[in-house]
Amino acid sequence: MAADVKGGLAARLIATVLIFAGLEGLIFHSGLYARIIEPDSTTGFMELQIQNEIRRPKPNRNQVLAVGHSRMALLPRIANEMQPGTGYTFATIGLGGTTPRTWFYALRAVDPHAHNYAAILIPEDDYNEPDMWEDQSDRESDLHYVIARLRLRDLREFPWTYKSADRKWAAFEGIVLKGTVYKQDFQEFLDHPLARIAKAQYYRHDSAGWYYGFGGDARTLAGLEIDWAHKTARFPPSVPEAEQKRIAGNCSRTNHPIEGMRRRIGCIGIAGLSIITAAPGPGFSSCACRGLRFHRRRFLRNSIAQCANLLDGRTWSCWMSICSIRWSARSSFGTPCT
Amino acid sequence: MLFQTPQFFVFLGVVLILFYSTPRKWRKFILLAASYYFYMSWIPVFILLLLSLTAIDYGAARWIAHTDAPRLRKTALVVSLSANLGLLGFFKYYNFFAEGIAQLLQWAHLLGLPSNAFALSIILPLGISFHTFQSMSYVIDVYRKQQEPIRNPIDYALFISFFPQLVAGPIVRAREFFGDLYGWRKPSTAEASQGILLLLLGLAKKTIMADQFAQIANAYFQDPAKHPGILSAWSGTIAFGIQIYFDFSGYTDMAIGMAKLLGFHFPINFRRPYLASSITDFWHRWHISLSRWLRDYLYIPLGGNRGGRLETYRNLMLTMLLGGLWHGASWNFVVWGGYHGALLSVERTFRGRTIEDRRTESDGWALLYPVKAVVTFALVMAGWVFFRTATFHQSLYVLGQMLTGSKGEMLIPAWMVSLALITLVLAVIEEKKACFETIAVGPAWAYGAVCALLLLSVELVGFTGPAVPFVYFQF
Repeated sequence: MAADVKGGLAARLIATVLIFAGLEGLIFHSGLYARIIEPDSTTGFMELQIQNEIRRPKPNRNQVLAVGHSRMALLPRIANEMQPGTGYTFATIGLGGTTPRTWFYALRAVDPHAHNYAAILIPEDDYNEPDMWEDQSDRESDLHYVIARLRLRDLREFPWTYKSADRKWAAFEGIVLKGTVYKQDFQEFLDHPLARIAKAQYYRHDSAGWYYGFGGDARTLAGLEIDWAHKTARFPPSVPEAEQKRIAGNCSRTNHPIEGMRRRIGCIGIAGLSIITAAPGPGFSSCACRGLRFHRRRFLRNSIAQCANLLDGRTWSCWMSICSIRWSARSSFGTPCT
Repeated sequence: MLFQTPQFFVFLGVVLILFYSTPRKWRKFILLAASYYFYMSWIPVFILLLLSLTAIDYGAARWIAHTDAPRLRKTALVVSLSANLGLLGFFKYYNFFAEGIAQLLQWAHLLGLPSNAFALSIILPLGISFHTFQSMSYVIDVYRKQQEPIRNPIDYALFISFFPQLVAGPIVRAREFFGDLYGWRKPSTAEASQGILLLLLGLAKKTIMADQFAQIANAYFQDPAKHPGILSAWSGTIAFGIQIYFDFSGYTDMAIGMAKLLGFHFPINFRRPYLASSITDFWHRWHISLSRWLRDYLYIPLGGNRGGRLETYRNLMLTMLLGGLWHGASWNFVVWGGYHGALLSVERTFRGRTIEDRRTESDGWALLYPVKAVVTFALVMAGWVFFRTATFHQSLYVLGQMLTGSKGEMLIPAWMVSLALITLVLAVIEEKKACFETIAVGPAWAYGAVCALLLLSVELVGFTGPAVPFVYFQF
């Protein structure tokens, strides 16, 4: 049999590696698969927002982009209608459950040369919430959000922003073999391939309109009174019963208050934040809100707690002064919706 | 250390590097050390059991060969068989029989004991069912003078513990293994190519087919009553049928592939069993090394088909009942064995007596092959119900649903049905054309394309989650 073999073992192994790398690159690293990814998935949602923001016409540099997690909820239409005289146009990329690590890659995608925006806003929560501490630097979902935006050269830094060895390995593997991250989505795609392609196309064409045109939620918690001593709530009549039960349930829970989001931001980990400052993109160091400048070296030298302090006051006040922020009704314990 | 995990591939890579970078005379020591390390990576203390059995069987074979006195030879054989069967019986069947005795006493009102009164907390040592059968075949062959006793205890220890097949076979004969060990030659390009392809194929079978279908089967058999109906029962059972076949044959492919890379040649263990046209044909294709063992060391010594029809049926039934019990200590396995024994006996009743008769019969029925294959498949699936369910009562419930239930729901999602159909088409092509050999020796680009597709499939369609142990590891 040996005499009949065409090509040596080395040639066969090289052919295997090259063809595999070619297929992997063609399908996943070229962005081909990202076009048919489930729009309602983490990756799909981020991709849609990025694509919409890239396609949004930007006639001048007076663009303000808010990038953040679910509590960001800056509604571009409302902001633009409320402050037409400022000369600024607002846009937002709000990705539920994300951390600054994800925001960096979103920013890098929408503004790779750091000249599209006059200001970049990032959120900072400053209220107590139930003590469900989590080390956000090890948040797995970040990898799923940004996978379509990761390049092979991100191997140098992205995996090392995670703390645990397992997550580091998963990130490393995910960047090289993107299919390992897309796996679940791919298996769902196989279930209804045509429906998926149609849905992805539909969202790609139409979602910008829904997103930028969204006028907000009319529901309000204005008038809500909470007696923290007795853990009771009095609701305005407009609040539906189910919502009342949910809020009352939250109020009656015994939680150990933590020191606000400051501590949680502090726990995000210096690695995730340092990427933003160290990157050539539109991080804090180059074009955070006017007048706010973080010096990269100082920033990196600062302890996590100092970093959190710095973020807390300045970002917040800057944020408030530039734009009128409308928090959605979802932030039920935050500032009442205005 | 499961075969499909990255840790195992690192282990295999290290073993291959060490094996080929050392002089030939040291290689068996490397393989033995690697095998013991592999065995001890689970529960280290069980190495004492493996070493004891190795020493007993090695000594017994030497003793048998050394003496001509029939009584002494027989005594040595009995000592060896008792040690193997005794330890296998204790670890695998003690609780089964202890529970049976307690229930018997309960039934006879002799003692008011709970059914677990005599039960012990026993952990089954890794691969005990396989390495004891392999040891016994060696000692019996030496006793029958069909095998020369092995002089070097290291060689014998390697035969028993060789890591690619230690845990779940295939059950290798001594003459096959030592033929490779003593006449070792470097694998040719074709053999190495086949080895790598088999490794990838096995990995794909395990992670894509077995582990994915296991999710459906586990969900169904955890509580069949939650999914009543014909469609649910059949889809849940077929999911298990697919799981167990791809799980075991995937493991075997990986074992054979690894052995090829190390210059050893294991016999095939599966030959597309779900394409069988009869139950007899099924057993010629399913777990071939066990069937061969049962035939040579149980069925033929019992008399095989040399007696009349009734004796043949009795021998078939006994062989299959014990074969069923070999799979696990539960009445369900005995029933499963009995079910197959009964089907084999029925087939034998209607089959021609001579090979010529059978050939004519098979030519005449060739057009009906698809029907026969479907009927055989259905019968095999019905048998898996006994194999998979926790109790006999549950087996009856599932079988009842398969035959007379309401409509039910399809438990297997569309993409997995497509996957199963694609593998069926590939199996039919392989059955007719033997493409595997062609690919293994074909041009580098074609070989690379097939390997790359397998890798990509594992990456994309392989089960996501913690590594699922191989089904046959528990046997």
